[in-house]
Amino acid sequence: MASNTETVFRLSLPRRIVTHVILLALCVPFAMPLVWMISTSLKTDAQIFPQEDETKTLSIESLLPDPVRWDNYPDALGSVPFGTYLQNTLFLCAMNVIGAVFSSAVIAYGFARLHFPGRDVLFLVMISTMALPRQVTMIPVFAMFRMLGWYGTFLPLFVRSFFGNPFFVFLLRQFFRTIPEDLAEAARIDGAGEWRIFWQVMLPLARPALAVVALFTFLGTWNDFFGPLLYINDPSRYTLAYGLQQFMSSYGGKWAQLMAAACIFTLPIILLFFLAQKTFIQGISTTGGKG
Amino acid sequence: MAADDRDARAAPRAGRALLALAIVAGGSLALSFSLHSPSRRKYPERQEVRFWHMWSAEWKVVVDRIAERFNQSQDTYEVVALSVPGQAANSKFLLAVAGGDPPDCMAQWNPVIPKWADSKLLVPLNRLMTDEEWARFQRDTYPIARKIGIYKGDLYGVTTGLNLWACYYRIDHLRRAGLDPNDFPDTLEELVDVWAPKLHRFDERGDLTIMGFMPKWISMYLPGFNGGWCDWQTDPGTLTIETPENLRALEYLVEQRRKLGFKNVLRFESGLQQGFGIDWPFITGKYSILRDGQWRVEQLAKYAPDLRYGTAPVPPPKGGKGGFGYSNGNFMVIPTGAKCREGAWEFIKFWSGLAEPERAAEFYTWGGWLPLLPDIAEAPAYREYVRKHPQFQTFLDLLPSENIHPLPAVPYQDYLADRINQCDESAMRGTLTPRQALRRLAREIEIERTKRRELGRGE
Repeated sequence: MASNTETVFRLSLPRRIVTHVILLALCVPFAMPLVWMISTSLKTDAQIFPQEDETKTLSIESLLPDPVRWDNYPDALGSVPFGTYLQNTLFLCAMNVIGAVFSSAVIAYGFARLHFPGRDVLFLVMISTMALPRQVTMIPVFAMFRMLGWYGTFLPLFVRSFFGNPFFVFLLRQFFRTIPEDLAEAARIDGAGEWRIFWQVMLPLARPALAVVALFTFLGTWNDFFGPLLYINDPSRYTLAYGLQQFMSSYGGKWAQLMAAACIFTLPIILLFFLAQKTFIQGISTTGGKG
Repeated sequence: MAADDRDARAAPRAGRALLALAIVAGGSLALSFSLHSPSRRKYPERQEVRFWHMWSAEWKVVVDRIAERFNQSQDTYEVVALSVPGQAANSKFLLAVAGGDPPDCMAQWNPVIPKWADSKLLVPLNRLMTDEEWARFQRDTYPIARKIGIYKGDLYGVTTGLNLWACYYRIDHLRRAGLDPNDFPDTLEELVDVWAPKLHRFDERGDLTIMGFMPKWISMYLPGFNGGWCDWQTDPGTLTIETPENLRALEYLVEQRRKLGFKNVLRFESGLQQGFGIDWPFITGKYSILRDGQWRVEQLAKYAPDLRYGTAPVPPPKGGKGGFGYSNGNFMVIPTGAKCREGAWEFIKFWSGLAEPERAAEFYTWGGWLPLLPDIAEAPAYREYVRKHPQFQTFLDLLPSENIHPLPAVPYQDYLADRINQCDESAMRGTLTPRQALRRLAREIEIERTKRRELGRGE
């Protein structure tokens, strides 16, 4: 990694400029929808769509809002109970992240490091549950939660996370297998039990992989529209994804507000990704997720 | 030294105890937050009527107002409304039914009626009526409300808002082309062959920039050509696809596109938004005359209050039927597992106007909806609405017509609608001839019916 960085910095200035120009050009197609969303969120409705006899083509000029309409943001925030939805979303994200990270790590450690009869068969059974489509399990899972009296509460939306996620278990198991057994052996000689080895030796080393699990879980929960819609029957307990859907259903005509709401919805995800970028990429590359 | 050892051992123990305490406290807090649900009931002593609907944002406000009016109008039931927007509404409903906890009442688009009724998921509403009420319903309601709401002789859905389509024309465009807005064509041929060419605009390369008028959407035009997907008078349960009338209608629609050039029309249309507001191509001036639904009247008042326009029924082809078109709408249904079906039925009567048409007229004006009964359309509140939006009258005039047809009431209506769209699109793009497109549609439907027959499901 370090040598690659050095190679880049050893390039002459013109070469560096050319490299950056090429990289920036390659970024344009991916960044364009995001740029359009931000630009539209700051325009008036009249600026967004071409009028009679007017043919609008995509250009730098057409992307610049003139005048800039900041009011779209407070207007969008005022159209739905944003605070309530944010609170519910953050609560579910926090619970799911805690549940998924902890349970998946414990289970993965068991599959990676403990020896017990039927371990590999159990692992295979667990992995095979990933092949089940959501539509197949939807009705029995719904009936089960209803039987438990959890229908209409937040519990069906996060309790499952505390029982491990097959994909994350697989991911973390791969990671734990890469950690030298000598470390655990040394801890054992010092008198540490399995729980202590897991908690004090393995978990700190698995931080990048755990960050990947946390990020994926956070993203999944943040974007989940279907889950809350199925299990919640009280509007005050819905999430941001539901709030955004409300704009899409009824504010189809107010594109600027819709885009402002979409920006607000997307911003935390972008920030989170940039803040956790290093750990995330490190985790992906060390768990075998990188191709 | 011994004291130091004790301290050293005590520190981690205290840390662990604190951690355990924090976990227990956090877990309890999370559990209480998860389970605690602030009561949404304003009248907890009454029977709850759980009502799910597909409206959101400003429409949700209207629905909440109607529910509140109902709650104020009597002291036995309390309607608690929940907005379930998007495609997920059907999944939520079906899961709730399968889980044994459906709502008491639901508002949904009409294609669910034959599908759910055939699966015995809905209560036949006529069985909640007296004989006299049922007779009055069949006599007084608009024909289209019965065509959609009744499946195999039983009423499963009552509408609280029908949709109809008519021509919207821009007065500025007509004047610019030297056409008289007060003399709208009486025949489709005059509109297409005389008016539209004067309104079309092209750029220097010959590409369309403004479309005068283009007839499209086969389901809309079939009744005008004496055709249809079934015979609503004698046998609404049997599909009629490859008929000479249907073929003639599709050939006519395709021919109009061919005249302008398939590619030219396609290029023009693909550059347009199907927007609900200021981006609607009629507002942006991309169309001079455009066929669209009655809800645009309300939107035009909101997004383009200065735009001068008129509405008129789509004129029939020579020798065809007038006052023709297509319809759909939002319908209220009661699931079979509803716990408070009497309350749900009272709410449906209240909102739809079956109970008191004059009172319900006001609700219809809040949403700009087309009513179930002529009595509602004649009520003072509704007349006042039409006075403010005179363009709305065109749609009211169309309502009593027997030539407005919805899709046939078959339990695979979603599939039928999808295949009809495919048939329409293939012909309109010129990838299949009209005859080939209809033949393929007939074949696909026959395969579906055979499959359903083999599985023992309704046809």
